[in-house]
Amino acid sequence: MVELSETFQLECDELDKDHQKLVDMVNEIVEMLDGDQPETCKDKVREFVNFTKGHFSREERFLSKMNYPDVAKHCKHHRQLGEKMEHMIEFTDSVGDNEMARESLKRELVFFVMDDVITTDLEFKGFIGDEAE
Amino acid sequence: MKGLHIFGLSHAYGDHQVLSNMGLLIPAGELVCMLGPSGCGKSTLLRLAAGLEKVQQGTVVIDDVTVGTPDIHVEPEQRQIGLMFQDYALFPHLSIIENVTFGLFGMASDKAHKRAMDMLDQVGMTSHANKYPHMLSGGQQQRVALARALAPDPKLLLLDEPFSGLDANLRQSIREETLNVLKQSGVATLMVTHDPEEAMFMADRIKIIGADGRTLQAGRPHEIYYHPIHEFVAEMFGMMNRFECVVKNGQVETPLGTLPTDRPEGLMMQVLVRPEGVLLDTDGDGTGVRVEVISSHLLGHDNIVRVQLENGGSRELYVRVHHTFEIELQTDITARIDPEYAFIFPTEESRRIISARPPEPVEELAGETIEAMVAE
Amino acid sequence: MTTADATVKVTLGATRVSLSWINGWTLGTAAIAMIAILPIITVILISLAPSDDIWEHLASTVLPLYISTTLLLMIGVGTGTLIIGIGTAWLVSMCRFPGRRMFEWALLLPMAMPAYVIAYLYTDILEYAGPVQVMLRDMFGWTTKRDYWFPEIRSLGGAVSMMTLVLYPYVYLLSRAAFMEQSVCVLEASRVLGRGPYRSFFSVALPLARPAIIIGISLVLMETLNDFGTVDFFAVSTFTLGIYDVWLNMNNVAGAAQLASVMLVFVLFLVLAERFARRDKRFHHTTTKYKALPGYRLEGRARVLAIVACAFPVVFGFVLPAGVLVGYSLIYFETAMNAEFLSYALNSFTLSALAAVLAVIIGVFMAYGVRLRNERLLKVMVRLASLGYAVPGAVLAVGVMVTLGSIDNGIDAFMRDSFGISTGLLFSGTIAAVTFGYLVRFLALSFGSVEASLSKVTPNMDGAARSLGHGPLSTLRRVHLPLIRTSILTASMMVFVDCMKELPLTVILRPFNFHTLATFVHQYASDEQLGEASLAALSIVGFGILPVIVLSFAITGSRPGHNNVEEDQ
Repeated sequence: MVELSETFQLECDELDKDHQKLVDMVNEIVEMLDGDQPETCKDKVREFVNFTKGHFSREERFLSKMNYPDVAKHCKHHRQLGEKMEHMIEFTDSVGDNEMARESLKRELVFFVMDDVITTDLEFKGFIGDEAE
Repeated sequence: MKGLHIFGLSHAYGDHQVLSNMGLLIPAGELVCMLGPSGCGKSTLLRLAAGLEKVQQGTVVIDDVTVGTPDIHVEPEQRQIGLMFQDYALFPHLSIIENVTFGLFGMASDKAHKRAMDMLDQVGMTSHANKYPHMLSGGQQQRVALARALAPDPKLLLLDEPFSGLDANLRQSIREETLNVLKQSGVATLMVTHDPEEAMFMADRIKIIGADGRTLQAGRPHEIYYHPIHEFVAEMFGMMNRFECVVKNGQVETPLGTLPTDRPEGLMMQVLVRPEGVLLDTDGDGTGVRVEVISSHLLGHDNIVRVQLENGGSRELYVRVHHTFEIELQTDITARIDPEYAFIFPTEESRRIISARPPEPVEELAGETIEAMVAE
Repeated sequence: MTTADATVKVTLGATRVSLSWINGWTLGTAAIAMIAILPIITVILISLAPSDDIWEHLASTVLPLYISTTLLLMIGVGTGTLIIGIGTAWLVSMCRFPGRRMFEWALLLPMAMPAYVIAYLYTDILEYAGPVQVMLRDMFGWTTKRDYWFPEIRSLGGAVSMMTLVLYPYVYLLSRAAFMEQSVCVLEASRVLGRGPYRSFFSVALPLARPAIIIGISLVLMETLNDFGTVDFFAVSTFTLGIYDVWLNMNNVAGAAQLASVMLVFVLFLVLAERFARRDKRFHHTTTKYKALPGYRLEGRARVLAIVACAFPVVFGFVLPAGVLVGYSLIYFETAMNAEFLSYALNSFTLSALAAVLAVIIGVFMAYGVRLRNERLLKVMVRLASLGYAVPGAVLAVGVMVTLGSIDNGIDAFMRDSFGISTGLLFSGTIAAVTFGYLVRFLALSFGSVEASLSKVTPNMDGAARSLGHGPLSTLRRVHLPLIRTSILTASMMVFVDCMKELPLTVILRPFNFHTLATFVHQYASDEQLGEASLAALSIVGFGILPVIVLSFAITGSRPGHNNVEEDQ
């Protein structure tokens, strides 16, 4: 179970709502993986990946509107995560009978949402905070 | 979230920027390894997490409590962390058991003693409890240092190149033992190392830091090794074979064959191939290019072979083959590339060219990732 | 925001405290360093100030004499200690012969003898009316001085011999340490390449030990420059004697200061030589593999020669003079053991104890000051402040006297102007002045000792202690203190003993009618009444043995590769 405590907040409603939804989805998937029929999580994982991509484009639009100086780098980072996400979907094929696959997928999801997505987003927390003033 | 959370961390010593906007996340029970060249700021990050240095810019959070910002500084003794150094830093004037109980405050002394003995038992050092550090070998001191760090049940464990002082043949077994103990304790662990093999072995996640203090890539060991996103990351794990080629018709042409790519036409790329990615065929079976063997060094499980392209001038390649491939017995050897182990990156020059181009406007494409044709 | 709030308050407070703590400490260290350098600077300043043409007068009369005598003395003592020091060190560390283990520590014994004591004793023994010449005259039937030739002890040669006998242990100690440190592989490699033991010594062992030897010789020569009792007694016109003469007899401070400045040039050379050698030392460590040293077995004639060579300095540097001293003490016991003696002993004891305690406190303070703030400027200042050991007592005395004198005059003038009260001399000629002199001279001992052992407490140990929940004070108490405790005790003991033995500074700076054991011995010996002061001299030597004991423990335990390290499982 992952929780978005105070320090993970960007203090920007739209993006924070997206992040919370992502975390909720990851928690659901983790629950499924721990349950009787882990292989049923495949659809959920796909849904998660699609939502993430949508979140990325919303975020990129938001950042370029705010004229964030490092927007190009951030977009590049999003693109590089694409391969990771494909890989996660691949994993779902074997979670049915491979314990290690389940553990790996759980770990990857948590690291992905908390580190690759949210913590990297926190890089521009200062910037949007300043801009908001 | 239990564990370590760092974001926006920047740090400079005078003019020298060692960390730039660094982020890090370690949930409880996970081990993250920071891998990078010396001077890249990984030790600084460790010290900032420990509270041995004050945060200039950014935030350090342990178990959801903010312990380090430019305005807040929780002293190391109040953070409930464990530290392990390269030189173990055992207290020479205290016995082993006294060293391990050093961090156990507020515990009745018999309980502290029991806890210390439990920890020593986990690392297999109970019979040395009454000895002094100078009587122990390096490996034994390392185990005691681990027991000492874990005895107070810390929220976070920080390891600064803990195995580099050990003999090579000892390192493997000590690494395994340490990993077992760490997993058993379930503590979030941050390890700093310059040894790629060590990082691969120990880490649940590896974070590669570049010389400018930025994260280059973060991911599972498998991902880092087989899907590097930068040549720096690829080259971390050993000698690479390197070719420079221009993109033509969606392909790059290396002396050993062509590889597909979706990079722009006419751009100069560097193709890096791991030694195990150069496949040798014998007796004229292969589709590859003829090579001549120059030398071969058996490492036991592997053979490192140096070959020369017959019509590639003096171009030499490093090839890693299975040990049963007795090179002296082979004839008509050809070489080709296994695309699994080939990575294509723009050259430095190309990167500069691309970033100099004006960026295309960011388009609104609902539900799809935007292809912003800018900086590589 | 509540948890964060509380944390902020607690830690901000802690941060503020530790920041100001560091600043105060740094300033304090810098201030102390400056005060310690003050006497030396004063000397230089005075000598530069224009004064009556005492300088021309000095230059044309005694300056050449002082320079040549001092140089001759230094060359003589330097050569003598070199030969005896290195020779015995080599024998004791590289060869095996009966009695070697005993000689290892026995060769240190002459350190307990101050040069002036041994000078007085040998004069008594060897002078015309002394037992040796009397015996010779009886044996050979000579009646007057013109019948035979006997070396005059009260001469430059005599001074050289006396100082050589008590100063060689510095060279011995350092050379021995250097020889032991040398990897045996280097020596074996040398033998394989065809050089026998003697050639190996000269072409390999000696050059490798060169930095240590240079340090040893520098220390010897600094002590030689410092000596007052011997040169005074023997009327050997060195700079130190000149400074006393000009100051106390001619009452000319400026002239004394000028002589002192010239002396500082000599000192500068020695200090530079020593510093250079210390830097050189870093590159002279060969490998880290230690084995027991070769131990060439000596047979027959070589064996006898070795024993004699080692016995000579021990006997003549300590055993003989100590025996004579004990004899005198027994003979003159009733006269010597009186209220005067006891009060002088008390004076010595209190003064030395006071200086020792203060030296240690200041030394610890400065060592931490340097450790907390790693600034180059601070380190340089502290190094300069530690130069006191190199500066001869006479020069320091001039500096201290003048500095305190100006302070006194300044305060007096201020008080007279503001309040109409004359405070007169506050610091000059008091115990404070002597203590100040001792501290400037011996600061290096305490600071160096504490700093060396403090450096063994690595920053990682500090980090480890703090990660284990111990704040700075707790770390200090439970990690630092146990580890530096020994060096603090050793340092305080060494400062104590050195103060007990000290003569040049004390003679000048002491309050009127105030005697320490050392000045008492000097005065009575000068008046040919050594017997009455014998008990005092014996006490000084007695205390002097303490550091020898400590050092001898260090020696017998210092063979590397002797700790049992277990095989790794």
